[in-house]
Amino acid sequence: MKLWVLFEFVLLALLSPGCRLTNAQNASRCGSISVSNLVANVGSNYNVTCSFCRAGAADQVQWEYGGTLLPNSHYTKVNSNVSLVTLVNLRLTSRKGRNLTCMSEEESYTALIQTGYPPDVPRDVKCVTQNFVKLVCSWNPGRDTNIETSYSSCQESSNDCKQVGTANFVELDFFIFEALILRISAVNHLGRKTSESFRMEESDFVFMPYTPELLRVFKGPSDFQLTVEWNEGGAIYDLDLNIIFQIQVLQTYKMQEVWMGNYSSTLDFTRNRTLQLTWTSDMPLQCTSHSVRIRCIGNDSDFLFTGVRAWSDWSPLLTLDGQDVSNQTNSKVYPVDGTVLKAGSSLAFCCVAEEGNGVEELSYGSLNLSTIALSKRSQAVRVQNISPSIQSGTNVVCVLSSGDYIGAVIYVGYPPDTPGNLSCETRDLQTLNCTWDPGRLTGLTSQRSTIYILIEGSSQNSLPCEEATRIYPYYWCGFPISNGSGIHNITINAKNPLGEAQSSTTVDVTRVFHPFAPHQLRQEVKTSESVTVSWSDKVDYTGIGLLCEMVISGDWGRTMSHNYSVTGGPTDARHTVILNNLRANTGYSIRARYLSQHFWKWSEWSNVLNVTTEQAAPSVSLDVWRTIMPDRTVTIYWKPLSATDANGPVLSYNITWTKVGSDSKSTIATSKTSAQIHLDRAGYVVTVVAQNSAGMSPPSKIRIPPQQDDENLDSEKASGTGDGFNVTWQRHQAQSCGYTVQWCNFPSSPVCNLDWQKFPSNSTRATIKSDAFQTGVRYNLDVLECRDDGDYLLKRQVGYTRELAPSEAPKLDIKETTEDSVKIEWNEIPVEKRRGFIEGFKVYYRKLYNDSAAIKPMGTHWWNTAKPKTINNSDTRAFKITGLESGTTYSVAVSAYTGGGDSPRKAVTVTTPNSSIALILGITLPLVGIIALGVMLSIFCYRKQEWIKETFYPEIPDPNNSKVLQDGNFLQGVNSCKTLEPKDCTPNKVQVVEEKQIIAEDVKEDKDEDVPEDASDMEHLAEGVLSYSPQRASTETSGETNPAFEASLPSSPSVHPSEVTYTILRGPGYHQQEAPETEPEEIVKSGYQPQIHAATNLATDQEQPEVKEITPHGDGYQPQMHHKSWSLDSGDFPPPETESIGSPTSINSQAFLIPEKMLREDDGLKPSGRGWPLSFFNSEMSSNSFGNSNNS
Amino acid sequence: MHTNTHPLPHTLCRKYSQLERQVCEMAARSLLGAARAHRSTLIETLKSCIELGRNLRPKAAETVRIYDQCQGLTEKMTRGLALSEVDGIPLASTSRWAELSDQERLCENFKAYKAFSVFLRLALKNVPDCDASSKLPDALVDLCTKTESFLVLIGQLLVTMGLPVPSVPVPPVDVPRDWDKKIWGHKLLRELCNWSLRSVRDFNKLKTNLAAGRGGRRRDLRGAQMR
Repeated sequence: MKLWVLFEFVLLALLSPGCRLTNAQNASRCGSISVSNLVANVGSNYNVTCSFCRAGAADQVQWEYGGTLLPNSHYTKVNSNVSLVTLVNLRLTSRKGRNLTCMSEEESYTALIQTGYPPDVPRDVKCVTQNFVKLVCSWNPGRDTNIETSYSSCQESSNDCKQVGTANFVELDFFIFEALILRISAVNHLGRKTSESFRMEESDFVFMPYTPELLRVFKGPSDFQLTVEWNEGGAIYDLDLNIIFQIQVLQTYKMQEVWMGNYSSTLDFTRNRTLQLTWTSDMPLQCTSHSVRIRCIGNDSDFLFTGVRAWSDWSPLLTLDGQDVSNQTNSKVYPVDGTVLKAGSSLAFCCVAEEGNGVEELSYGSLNLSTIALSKRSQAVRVQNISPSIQSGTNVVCVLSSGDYIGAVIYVGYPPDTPGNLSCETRDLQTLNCTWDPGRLTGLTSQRSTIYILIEGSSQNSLPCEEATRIYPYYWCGFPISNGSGIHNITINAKNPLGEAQSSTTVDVTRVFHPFAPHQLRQEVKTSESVTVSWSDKVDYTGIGLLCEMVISGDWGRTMSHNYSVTGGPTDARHTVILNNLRANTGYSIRARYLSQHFWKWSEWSNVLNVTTEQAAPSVSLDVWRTIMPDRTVTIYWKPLSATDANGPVLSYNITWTKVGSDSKSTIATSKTSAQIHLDRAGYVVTVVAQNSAGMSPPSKIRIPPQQDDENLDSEKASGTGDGFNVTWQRHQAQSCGYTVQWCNFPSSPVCNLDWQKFPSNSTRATIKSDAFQTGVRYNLDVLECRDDGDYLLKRQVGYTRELAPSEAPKLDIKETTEDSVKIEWNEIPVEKRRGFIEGFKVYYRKLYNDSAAIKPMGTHWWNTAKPKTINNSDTRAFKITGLESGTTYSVAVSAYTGGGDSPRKAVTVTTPNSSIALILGITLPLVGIIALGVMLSIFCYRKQEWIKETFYPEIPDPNNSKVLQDGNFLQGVNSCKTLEPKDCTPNKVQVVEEKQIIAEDVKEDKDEDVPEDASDMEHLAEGVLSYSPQRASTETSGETNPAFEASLPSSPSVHPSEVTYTILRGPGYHQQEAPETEPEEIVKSGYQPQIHAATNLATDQEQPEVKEITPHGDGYQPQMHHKSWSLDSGDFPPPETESIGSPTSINSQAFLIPEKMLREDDGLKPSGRGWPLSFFNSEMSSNSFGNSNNS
Repeated sequence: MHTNTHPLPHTLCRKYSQLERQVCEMAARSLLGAARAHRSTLIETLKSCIELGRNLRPKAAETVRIYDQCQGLTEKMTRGLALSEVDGIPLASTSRWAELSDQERLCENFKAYKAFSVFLRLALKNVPDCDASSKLPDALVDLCTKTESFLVLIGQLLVTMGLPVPSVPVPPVDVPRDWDKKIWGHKLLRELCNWSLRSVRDFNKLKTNLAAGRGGRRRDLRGAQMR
């Protein structure tokens, strides 16, 4: 500190040259300092003198400022007892100031120095009222002056100035209906400033209520609820103000806001009320400490106050300690074990460790949740949208740092729903049974499950329905009623730990009477037409009016219902009714039920009583018909009686016939539905009756006319209706007794199954229907007329219920074929395959192909697109198709058609014969053409014979004159093509010409012996691909020798015993070979064979040992090295006729085949000089050829 | 050898009062007689015990599984659980298993299964209706039956061997909180599982001892007396 002050003064001294030094008061008397209390501007300079009373004290003076000794350079001695110190650029002191002390040995004087600033102009005046009585106007004093500054405020209206003191606010009476004009003056030792006039209306005033007083914060009613109590403070205000209180809840450990809530209240200014607000946390309050503070704000309308409203200051915090700050010795999980919570909300679970312990892990059920650290000892997990627990509850488990486990079982579920569909009824008039729908399952079980209590309004009797059984999906609870009548108010109260709900209804017992079913329904007496039944009441219904419905279902499916009014009786009494109009021998199912007179609900059905009525005689006569065979065998048919007509099982049918005009009777009995009897030619009357155990049916009579000649009637077409026939007829006799239509249900089967239908005498038309009718089947229907003495055939009809397309195609046959027409015939379709009346035929044909055209692709059902020729005559069996093309193949098909469609088709292929003119033209025209061409060629050859001879076969071949060889392209052609063009073969021909006779003979001989097998080899040779001709056909030639080779080459040893080699050098891509004599075939085929063949031959050829010395030079490949080819001992060779030794190919040849030009072009072939030594030549050739081989 | 003249009962029972001594000597004599007469019966009973123990173990293990499933207990929750004195459940583990006399061995088993038979009934009462594991009550009843069978068999063994059937006061269990009930039930079943294993070993040991002959048994009994 001292050093700092020293430094300060040194610095100030350096800066001081321009400073104005102000002298303080001169010291006037001894023992004093020139100033006692100096207030100075910051940055100003001062001289202070100190007068000591003792002379010479100025020499020993020491100045101390702010506890620091000043260096002596700062003070000067004025005289022996006066010292002057210069304070330069004073810095800001503390508010109390600094002491400046001058000290000598015996004396010491101190002055207080305060520095500061002159006041700023007061600004930003703001007026605040807390109670609308007083107004506190404050202003911004600007910079802190550091010295005491006093303010005065002057109201312009009253011109009244008020000294405020050092405070920067002034309290005024609350202004209303008048503007406040205020001017503030600030004054201190260093200056004075007066503000401008501030004008403020009421709207500029701020209402900031008093800070509310927080009284108490406590947990409750539940562990999740925090209740805050505070003093409303109405007495402070003189008005009934409306105030909004704002309560903020923070977690104390982190000072983190967790909730902020408002509470609006209209103050009662007469007293101080205590207000309370409960906040429900999502976390048990034990988990951590919570702090609460409160503030408020005016909430009145603008009518009361138009100014600005501001929040009061926050009240001091009040804290509700959590268990994590208590010194508890047990760690615990919150909410505590066994707590029941509501599902669907978001809740937090926490674990608070005992003192000195911590929480390691916290889990909620099987959920994987992250923990939230609340404090050092407390952690929580937050579960969003919590779902209902399993029956055993959800486990919240906490692992402590110590390794201990603690846990709690939490039950999450729903509060009970309001019991729905509450309805009550009585069955025995002694107990009122109420049922209701419990609604959503609460998810809570055992002691936490919903308890239902039934409360009866009038008596306020409550009946716990814990035992109330649950009849899924409803609950049920019974309530005893004493008198069996009256009106009851019933309330069902549902309650579980999470809530309560109730539902009420008013019940009039007589209207909700739901009787039990009639009891023990049984049969008393029965006849063929009626049944007497009786029943009793299950409980005592004495005097109760009941409606009984009895339902009787017959065997045949008809159901009857009868209602009876019954007065209930004691349980041992029986009610009896007689059920009439029943059918005989019929089974009935009888059951009954009750209904109360107020039509509340039907009872259940009683037991089912099964009764069969007694039998009776058949009620109707039989429907009888007959067939009469020419031999007077009469078959009587009848239709069995229906069950309703038979009134009991028919035991037998009795048939009685009586001859007309006679009394003789014959009778037979049968159980079948037909009977055959043999009659004579007379007319008969046949009577048939059915008999059951109760009696006989009325008799049915049918007359059999006397025998007469058959009348042949033509069949007419019957019109089918799809499921039957419309039959019409005309009356034959005026006195007809009716008509009968008969038919066979199965005409194609041997069992005809005769069926008939009878019509009254006045009818002339009928619609015949039968379940047996089938479509596409031909039925014969006979109409018979009933006359006095019997039934006579009136009309015959034949038809189909519905025609179908024939199921078979007509069998087609080609009868006659000409160049342009085909006659076809077909067979009739069998009746059973027709399935309708044949109306005509359709002929289809289509061209398949002819001699010139290819086969046209044609589908199997080509006729679907072809247009047929239609024959509208069902009798036609033949058709001639005309306009066809000759020599053409056609496909022809025929189909028959009925009203039901076309039959299938079977196609037949037919080819028309060719036309004779076309045939002749086809043969003669090409013949004429060939002859004409031959004639033209002959003429040409004759005319140009000289030229042809010169060109193609001169007498002496002259290569220089050869057009082929002169062609500059020849060699290039050879080089570029591995296979020579035909013209390149010219040298061959030259060779052939020279040895013509021999070749011709050889060929002839060989041809006689063998037939070429391989034509391709022949071609090979002819084209000159083969380069080399063997000199001598080996006598050892085996059967494998290629005949082609032999045939084409002039190498018969008998004709040509000397070894002559003809070699033609081809391009570098080609290397001629000497064929080993034993294997000519291979050479011919391959065209190229490395000299290795020679080596194999050497082994067998022992007669030329000298050659062996040469062969080692040919390593693998040795062209031109054949021992026979190059033998010097072959003295039989004729001397060379030309000197063209330059050709490397033909030392033994009589002629050189390659022109000089070619040799010049190919350096590799050019000889280095004439008369080479033969061995050198051999080796040279070997290497050359080898090199060429490589090049290839 | 005549049982009345055998010195062993007298040696064994000399520390008891007159009446007790008479009873004890009678038991000892009975043991000796029975050992000769019903040796095969003993072995058969022991075999039944071993069989029962082997049968009990998988049942108990399965019951632990369905119990945990019903109570929503996960492996994470039960991993760190340890038995404590307050649980009242007899502990299967012992540091001096090899040193136990036949009588001690039998008595410990008897006490354990007595406690289990009581506790299992208690656990059965606390079991909620679980949709997820409706077999749990049946499984617990089955375990009850098996532990009671054990009691009968061990009692039979004790009687056959002439040993007193101990009276076992089962301590009351105070588990007021639902969580503690759940955990207690889990511990009970788990420990029953351990006991079934121990019993198999115990009865095997007894069988071996019995097979080793009368001398060995006498030594054991004497050892038990001294201890």
